[in-house]
Amino acid sequence: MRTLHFNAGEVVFEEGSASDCAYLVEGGKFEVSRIHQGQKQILGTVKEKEIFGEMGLIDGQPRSATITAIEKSSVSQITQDCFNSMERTSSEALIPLLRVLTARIRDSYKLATMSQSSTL
Amino acid sequence: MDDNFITFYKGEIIFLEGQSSDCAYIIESGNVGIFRNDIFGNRTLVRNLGKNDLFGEMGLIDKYPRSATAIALNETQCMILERSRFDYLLKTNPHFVTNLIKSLTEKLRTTISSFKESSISSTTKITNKTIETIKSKKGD
Repeated sequence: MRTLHFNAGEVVFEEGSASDCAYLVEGGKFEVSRIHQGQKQILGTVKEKEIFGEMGLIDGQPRSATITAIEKSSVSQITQDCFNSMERTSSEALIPLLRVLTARIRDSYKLATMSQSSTL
Repeated sequence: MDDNFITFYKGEIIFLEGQSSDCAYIIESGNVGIFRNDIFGNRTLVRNLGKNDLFGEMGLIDKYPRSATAIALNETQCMILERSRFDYLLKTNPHFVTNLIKSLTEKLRTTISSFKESSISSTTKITNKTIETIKSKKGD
């Protein structure tokens, strides 16, 4: 896996851009945001040992959010080949991904309720 | 009828948001509505599920309480996927895990897009092959 380094304020990828890999945070912290009704909406942060960008890797759809480094950070890049070999061989290696997705769904439910209240 | 199957009548509550989770369900026939409470406490339909859709799996993955309420919209037959079987499939069947990852990703995209749209309609389809795998290992 290739390691990439980012300084505070640097963007890893933008909402709407094409997806071809996921990232595992080795150190530092990133902000997850998207544009909602013309305004930036912060969805959360990702830190050490967490994964981001996995949705694009799984379904190939454009990035659903923008990822920006909050501080000096580094990530390992998980390519499509690497993910596919995990899919074929190891169930247990994929379980952390299930947990990440489930946690994101629960978080996004909370955000959906909050954005519902802010539009009223 | 097999012990692993359960029939719900129209309007019957399958589980309530906030309850503890001990199993997931796969719909054999009928329809299930997934509801969440809005800020006024009103039940809002967020997904309408049908044959072969899986629901209730999130609590099995992270052991947190149910994130939504499930209600049978008409007479509905479901196969019950208990925690022990679910955990066994997670450990032994990469195909099952891959399908779960895909269906969760789809669910997440639907929820994210619901920030913009008031109504959501999506399903959590898992492939027939996966269902056959689950059924074939019933005796484990």
